Amino acid sequence: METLLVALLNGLIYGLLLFMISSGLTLIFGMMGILNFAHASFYMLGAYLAFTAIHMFGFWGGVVFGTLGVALIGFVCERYLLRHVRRFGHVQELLLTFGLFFAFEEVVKLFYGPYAVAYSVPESLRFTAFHIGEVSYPFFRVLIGLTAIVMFAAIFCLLRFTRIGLVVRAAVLNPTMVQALGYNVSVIFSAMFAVGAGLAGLAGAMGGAYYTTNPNMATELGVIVFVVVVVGGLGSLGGALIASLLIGVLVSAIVYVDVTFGQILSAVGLVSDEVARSTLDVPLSSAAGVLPFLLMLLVLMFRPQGIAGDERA
Amino acid sequence: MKSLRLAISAAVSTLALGIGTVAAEPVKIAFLTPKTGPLAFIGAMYDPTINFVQQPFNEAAGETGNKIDITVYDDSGTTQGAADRFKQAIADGARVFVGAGTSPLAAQNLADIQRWNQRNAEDPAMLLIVGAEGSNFIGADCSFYSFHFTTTPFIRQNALAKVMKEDGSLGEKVYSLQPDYTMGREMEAATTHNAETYGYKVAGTTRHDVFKIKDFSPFIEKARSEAPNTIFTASSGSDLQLILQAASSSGLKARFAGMFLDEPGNLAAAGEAALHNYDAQIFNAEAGGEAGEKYRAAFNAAAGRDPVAFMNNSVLTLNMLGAAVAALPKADKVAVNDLVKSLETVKVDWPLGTLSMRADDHQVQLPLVISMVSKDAKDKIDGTDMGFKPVKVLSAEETSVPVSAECKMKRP
Repeated sequence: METLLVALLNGLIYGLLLFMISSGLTLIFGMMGILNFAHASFYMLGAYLAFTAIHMFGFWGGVVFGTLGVALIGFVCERYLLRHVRRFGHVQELLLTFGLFFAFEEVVKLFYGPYAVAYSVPESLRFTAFHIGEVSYPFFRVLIGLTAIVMFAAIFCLLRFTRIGLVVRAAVLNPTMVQALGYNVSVIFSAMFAVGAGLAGLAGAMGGAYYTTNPNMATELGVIVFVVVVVGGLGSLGGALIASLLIGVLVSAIVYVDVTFGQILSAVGLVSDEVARSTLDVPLSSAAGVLPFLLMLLVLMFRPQGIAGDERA
Repeated sequence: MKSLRLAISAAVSTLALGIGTVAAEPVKIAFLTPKTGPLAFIGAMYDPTINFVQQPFNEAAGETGNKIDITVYDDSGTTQGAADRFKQAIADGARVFVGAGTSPLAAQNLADIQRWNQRNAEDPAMLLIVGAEGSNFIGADCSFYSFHFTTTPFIRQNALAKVMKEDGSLGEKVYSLQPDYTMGREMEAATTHNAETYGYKVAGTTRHDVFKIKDFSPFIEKARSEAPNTIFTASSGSDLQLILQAASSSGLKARFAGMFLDEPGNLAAAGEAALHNYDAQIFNAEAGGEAGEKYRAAFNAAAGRDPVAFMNNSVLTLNMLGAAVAALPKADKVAVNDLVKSLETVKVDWPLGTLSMRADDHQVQLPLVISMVSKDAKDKIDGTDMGFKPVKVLSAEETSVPVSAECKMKRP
C-alpha cells in the first residue's frame, strides 16, 4: 500500500514536470500554429542560465533569471527569426526551429563543455516534506509539483478571465479583425512566444537542479514533450495536463510490474512456454522508456486529434 | 656526355638511398573516436591523452628508433561514421587503429578490420579497443588482430565484490540495477554468478532504458522494497547521476558499487549523493604512491586536468603500443604482424603495477583500484570537495579472470 502510494505520487510529480515543459509548447502551437522543435532547448537554456546566475543572485534569483532570460531569448527568436519566415508557411517555421535546436546545443557545449555541470538543489531546500512508511519524501519534488499547479492555474485564469486573455484569444481566431480594432497583433504573438519559452525556462531552472544539467538534456526530453502534446491534443492546455499525468503515472507504475513479455504472450497463447523463458525473457519494466511512444501510437490510431484536441489537429 | 649522364644518375640514386635511410616512415595510427554529436564527450575525454603519450615517445625515439604518428578521426558516434572514417584512414595509409568509442562502435571497427584483412591478407590492419567493455571482444569475437585494453563488467564486478566482502561493506543482500544493453546484462550476469563465491543473496534485478528515463524514483523505490545492502550498477553518465540523486533524495540506505562514477562531471552533477559509493577504477593517484602522483601531475600539467576514467585506458593503450613499437628494430615500414607479436610480449610499468597482454585472448592484464567517494580523498574531482579514497589495489593477477572458452583465436 505504501509502495503504491509512493509510486503514484512519484508519477504525478514527474507528470507535473512534463506538463511544465509541454504547456509552453502546446500554448505556442495553439495560439500561433508553430510546432516549435527547439522547445526542449528552452528547457535546457533555463537550467544553464539559472546555473550561471546562482552564484550572483542565489538559488531563487537564479530561477527568476533563468525564466526571464529564456523568455527574452524566446522573444528574440520570434521577433528576429521566426517572423521573417512566417509568410512562407508553417513548414519553414518548423525547419527553422529544428535548426535552432542544434544551434542551442552546440552553443551550450561551447560555453559549458560536454559534461554535466554542478547545478543541484541548495542545501536549504534539501529536507524531507513528509514520511510515507519508511520512505522520506523530498520537499523539492513537492515544490516542483506545486509550481506546476500554480502555473497551470495562472495561465488558465489569464486566458479565460482577463482582458489580455480575451484579446489574445481573439487575435488567434481572427488576427486581421483584431488588428483593425487597434491592437498590435505582432506584439501579442511575440509576447505569447516569450511566455511559452519562459515557462520552459522555469521548468529547466527547477528540473535542472533536481535532475541533471547537461548538454543532452534537451534531446532526452525533446521527444517525450512532443509525445505529451500529441497525446493531449495539439494546442490544448488541459489535454497536455491530462497527458502529462497519464504518462508520468504509467511510466512510474510499470517499473513495479514483475512480468516479462514472454509471460504475457504465452498467457494469451501466442508463443510456447519455452520461447517465453528464453528469447522473450524481457521484463516489462525495461520498457518504461518506450511506453509513452506506445501510448502515442494508440492515441494516433484511435483518436488522432488527441485526448482534448479540436478538429484543427 | 654519356659519362656525365651516368654520373648524374649515380648521384641521384645515392641521394634517394640516403633519404630512404634517414626518413623511415613513422607508424601511422588512426584514433577513431566521437568528436561531434551526443557522444562528443567521449572524444573530449580522449583528446588530451594523445599528445601526452605521442610527444615524449617520439622525442625518446630520436634518430635510432621508430616513431609514431597518431591522427584523430571523428566517427561522430555512429557506426556509419566509424565505417566511413575507417576507409578514409586506410586510404591515408594507416594500418594500426585505436577504437575509442562505445561497444557498438568498436564492433563496427572490428568488422571493418576483419573485412579488410580477408581481402588484403598480405597487408593486414590491427585494432586496439580502448573503452568498449563488452566481453564479446575477448570471447566469441576475439581475434589475432584485435586487442582489448579495458576490463569487462565481469572483471570489475568481481573486483568490487572481492574488496567489499573483505572490508565488510558488501552485506548479505545485493541488488542489481542495470542499463538495458550488453554491458548492463553482463554486469547482471556477473552479479548473479558471483553470489556464492562472495556469500551474498541477489535480492532482485532490474534493467532500465538507456538515456531515456528522467525520473529514477520508481526504480529506487522498487529496490528499496527488497532492502539491499549493496546495489551493483553499470549505469553511466546522466543515468548514473539521476540514479544517485533519486536514491539520495529519497533516503535510500544502500551503497552503490559501479564502474563509471569517476567519469568527468558525474561527481559534480550528483553532489553529496555520490558520497560513500564504491567504484572500480583503472587509476587512482593516491593509490599509486609516488609514481601515481608523478603521472597525475605530469598529465595535469599537459592536459589541465587530472586523468580519470577512460583517459587512463587511452594512456595505457598508447604506452603499450609505444613500447611494442620501440621493441622492434628500426625499419622503413613496421610490419603489422611483427607489431602484434611484439605487443603480446611487451611489459609496461604503470603506477599501480605492471601491464601485460595475454596472448591467448588479447585481454590486457591490469591492476584495478577499488575506491570510495569521500571528502577525505587526497585529490578532489570536478571542482567539488569530494574525491576517490582508495580502499584496496588489486594486482593484475588478482583481477584476472580465465580465458573464455568461446575464444578461438586463429593465428596466421
